[in-house]
Amino acid sequence: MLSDREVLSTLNMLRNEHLDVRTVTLGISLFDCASHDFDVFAYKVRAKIDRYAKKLVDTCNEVGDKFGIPVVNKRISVSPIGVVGASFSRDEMVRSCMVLDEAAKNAGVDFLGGFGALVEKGMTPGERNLIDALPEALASTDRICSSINVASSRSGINMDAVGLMGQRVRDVAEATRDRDGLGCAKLVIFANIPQDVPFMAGAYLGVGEPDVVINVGVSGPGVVKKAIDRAMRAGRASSLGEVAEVIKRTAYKVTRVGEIIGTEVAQRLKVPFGVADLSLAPTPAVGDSVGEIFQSVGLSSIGAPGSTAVLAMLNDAVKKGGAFASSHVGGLSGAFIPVSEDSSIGAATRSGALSLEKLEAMTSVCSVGLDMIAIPGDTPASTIAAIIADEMAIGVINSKTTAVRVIPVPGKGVGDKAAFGGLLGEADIIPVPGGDASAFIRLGGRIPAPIHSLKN
Amino acid sequence: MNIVVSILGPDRPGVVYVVSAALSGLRCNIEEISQTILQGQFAAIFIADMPADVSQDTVHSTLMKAIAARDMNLSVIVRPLREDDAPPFDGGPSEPFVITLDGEDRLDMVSSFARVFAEHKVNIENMKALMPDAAEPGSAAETRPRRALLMFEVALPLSLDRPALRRTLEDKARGMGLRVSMQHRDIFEALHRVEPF
Repeated sequence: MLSDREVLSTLNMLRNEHLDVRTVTLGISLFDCASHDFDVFAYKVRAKIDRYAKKLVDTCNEVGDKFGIPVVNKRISVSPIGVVGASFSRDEMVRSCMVLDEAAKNAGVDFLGGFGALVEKGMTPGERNLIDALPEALASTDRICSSINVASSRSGINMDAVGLMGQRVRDVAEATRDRDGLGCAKLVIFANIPQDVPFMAGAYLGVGEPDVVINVGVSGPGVVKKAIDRAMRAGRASSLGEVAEVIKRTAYKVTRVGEIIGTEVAQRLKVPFGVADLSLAPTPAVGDSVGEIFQSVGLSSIGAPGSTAVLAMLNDAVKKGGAFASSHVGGLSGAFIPVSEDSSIGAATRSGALSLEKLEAMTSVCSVGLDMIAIPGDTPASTIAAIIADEMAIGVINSKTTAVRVIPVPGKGVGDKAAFGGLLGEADIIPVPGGDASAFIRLGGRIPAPIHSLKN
Repeated sequence: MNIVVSILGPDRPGVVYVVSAALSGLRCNIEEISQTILQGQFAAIFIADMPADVSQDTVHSTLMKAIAARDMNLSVIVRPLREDDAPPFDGGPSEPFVITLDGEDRLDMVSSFARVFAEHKVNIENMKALMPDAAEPGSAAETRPRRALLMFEVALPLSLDRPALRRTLEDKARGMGLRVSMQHRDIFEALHRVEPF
C-alpha cells in the first residue's frame, strides 16, 4: 500500500509545484529522404514525418492522462537539413523549411528543430545556402527552429562561420522586424551541440542517432524551488551541502517521471527511447523560474555576486540526481538561464542586477549559454559575432555545450521592451559592452582546437 | 481448513500477543495477518489453518477467554475463509490506479464515489480518509469547514473505458465542489521508491 506521504507529496508536486514533463520530442532521421530532386525530397519528408508523428500528440496526451502528469510540449527534431539537403540552392533551402513547417503543423506540434548545419570545421555549399536562407526561411515559417554548430572542443572555432552568423542574426532580426526580431528566438549558435537535445530551439537529430527515437525533457525548476523552500522551513536544509542534497533528490524524482512517461510513449509508438535531458527549463510563469532558486538560497536576485557559485551547485546537483534516475541521460542536462523565458531573470536584467557580462560568466557553469537576450537593434554584426566567439571559447575550452540566442530587436534600444509571445516571453533590451571587434572578426579562419582535444 | 479471525477494539500493547498465543495454543497455524490502527482503534484480520479436530466455536470461545483474562475490550469474529467453495472475487486483468478526492468534508463523500466504482465494477483494494489539516477539538480553528482527503487504490479492469470513468469522476467531483485525481500507481512508486529490477 502506498503511504500517505507518497500520495500527498505527489499531489502537491503536481498541483503547486509545476511537476510535468516539459517536452517529449520525436527524433526523425531524414537521411533516407535525401534527393537532388526537390519534389521527391519534399514528398518523402512529408510522408515520413506524417507516418511517425501523426500519433505523437495523442499518444503523449494519453500517457500523460494515465499517470496524471501533463506532457507540456510535443515536438519533432530532424536530421540537420544542411546535410540532408546538401545539394539544395538557397531558394530550395527556404522551400524545405516551409515543407517542414507544414509537416509540423499537420502533426500538431508547436516546434520542429533541425533546420541547421554543423560547420565547426568548415562549410559545404549546401550548408552555406542554408545559412543564407535563414532570414527568409525563419521569417516565412512559424514553427521551425534552427541551430548552427560553429565550434567544438575537437575542431576549434570556425571564425568564418562565427562572422557569418553575426551578420545572419542581424538579417533574421530585420526579416522579422514586425515581430521584434522573433526569428532570432528560433535560431541558436552552438559549440559542442549534443545530437539528442529534445529542447528547442537547439533540438536536432544527429548523424549517429536511430531512424526514429523519443527523447524527453524533464520538469522545470518550480519543483526544485519549492523543495528547497520546504526543506529550509523544516530546518532540513540549513547548509549548502544540505540544499544540494535536496536538489539532487528532487532531480531524481523529476527524472523518474520523465523517464517513465518517455518510455511508455516510445513503447506505444513502437520506437526506441533515447535519453532524458535533465535540464531545468523555466517558463515565464511565476513559480517556474530558475532565477527564483537563487533567491531561495539567500541571494537578493540572480546576478548578485555568488550567482555563479549557486548555478554551479544547482547544475551539478541536478545531474547527480538525474543520472541515478535514468540510465540514458543526454541532451543539454543542466540549468537554462533564458532571460525572456524566466520571470525572475527578466526582472534582474530590468533592475540592472544582471548584466550581459555576468550572464556570460554564469554560462561557464550552466548547460547552455547566452539565451533569449534582447539587445539593441543597432548592435553591429561584428559585435554579435564577437559575443558568439566569446561564448564558443567557453564551450570549447571547458569541453561543454555553450550557445548564443540573442535578439537584436530592430528599431529598439536599451530600456525598450521586446515581446515574443507565449513560452518565449518578453524581455527588456539590455546594453551590450562597448568596444569594436570588427577587425578581429574580419580576420576569420579557425581558432585551433585546445590541447586537451588530443585525447586518443 | 482455513479460517478468518477478525479482531476489533481499543489498541494497547499485547493485543497481537493474546490473539496469536490463543491461536497457536489451539494448533491453528497463522498464515497471513493484516492490521491497522485508526484513532486508537485496533483492527486485524488473521488467516489461519485450523486442525480438523478444532471447531470455529472453540476458537471463538478460547479467544474471548484470553481477551477477558487480559482485561481487554475486543470484538472477535471467526468464520471459514471460503463458506461455499466460491472462488474469491476476480475482476479479470486490471491495472492499479490511485484515485484521490479532496475538498470540504461531506457526509456523502465516500458513498458517492464508492457508488461510481461499484457501478463500473471497479474494486477498491485499499482506501484511506485523511483530515490533512484537522483542528484541535475546542480550538477556534475547529469552526472552520473541515477538509478531507480520500485515497482509493483501485484495480481498473483493462476492459474499462478509462477516459469515460475519468469524466464521470470529474463531473461528480465538480458537482460536489471537490477535486479529483486519477493516476496509475507506477508514478507514485517511480517518484518515491528505489527498487532493483
